[in-house]
Amino acid sequence: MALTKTYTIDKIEVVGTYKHIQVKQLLIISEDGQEISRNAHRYVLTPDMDISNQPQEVQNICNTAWTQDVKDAWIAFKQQQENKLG
Amino acid sequence: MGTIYVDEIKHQSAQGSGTITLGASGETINIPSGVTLTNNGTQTGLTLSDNILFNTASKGIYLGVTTATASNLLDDYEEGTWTPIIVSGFTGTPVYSATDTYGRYTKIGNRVFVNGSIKIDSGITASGAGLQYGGLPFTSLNAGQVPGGFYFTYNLSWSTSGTASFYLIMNANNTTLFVTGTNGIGIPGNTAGITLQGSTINIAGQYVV
Repeated sequence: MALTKTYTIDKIEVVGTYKHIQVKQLLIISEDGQEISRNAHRYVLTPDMDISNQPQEVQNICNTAWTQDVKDAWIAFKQQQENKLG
Repeated sequence: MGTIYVDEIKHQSAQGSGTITLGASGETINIPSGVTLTNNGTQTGLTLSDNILFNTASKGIYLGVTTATASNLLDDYEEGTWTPIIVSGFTGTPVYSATDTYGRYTKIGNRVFVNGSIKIDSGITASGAGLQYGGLPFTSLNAGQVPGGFYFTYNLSWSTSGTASFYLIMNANNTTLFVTGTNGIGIPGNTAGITLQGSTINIAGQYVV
């Protein structure tokens, strides 16, 4: 009985004004090739983040969505929030 | 084969308890649009023996209405995990506790319910930047309103003479929670009395996406 863990990207979504990238990962555990469990894990990437460790398909979407205008707008929005709450 | 016109199909035993099989595994039983399934018996409702699985993503069930109404459509439900992080309020590279840093979420429609725990074991020095927690699993609603509510608890000192209570505020278009005092001003990470490293922070709340 061999247990195997497989991580896959199930969904990549571009969300909102600042083109946040929502990533849904699936952890699939199989026993002798038969799937026995499947769990979702989520994270969100924002235009100021380092994406060099992300899977290539995620990087490709980030690079398409995050134009310089989007990055600048996100940085300005963050700064505005921090000024207000800081 | 062509069309068969009948008024009733019953099990051959005619005793009301037999099983009638339509089609076989992998086949499709097509019920055209506009057909109504009714129950003429005394027992109400429809009993299924297994889960319902749509063959197209983002399909759901209209609840409580007899016409398709967007606000009554339940077309999204998801459970999963997320990883809380501290975004701001320190310098250095945080080393998170593997056992005390975790998060879970449930998304029902456009609302996300989250809980999580976060603990930094080492690697940071508190700074004057405002404290922010992040890593939430979905970006909040793109609207100019506070999209949700949160609370948090902590197991080491988080008391300052000038701040009776702490709040977590989430703005639109965010995956970040800002820690503020009662005056709505952000709390710097190096505020006297706050123990940032070594303290286990538990967060719970919900927000709209």
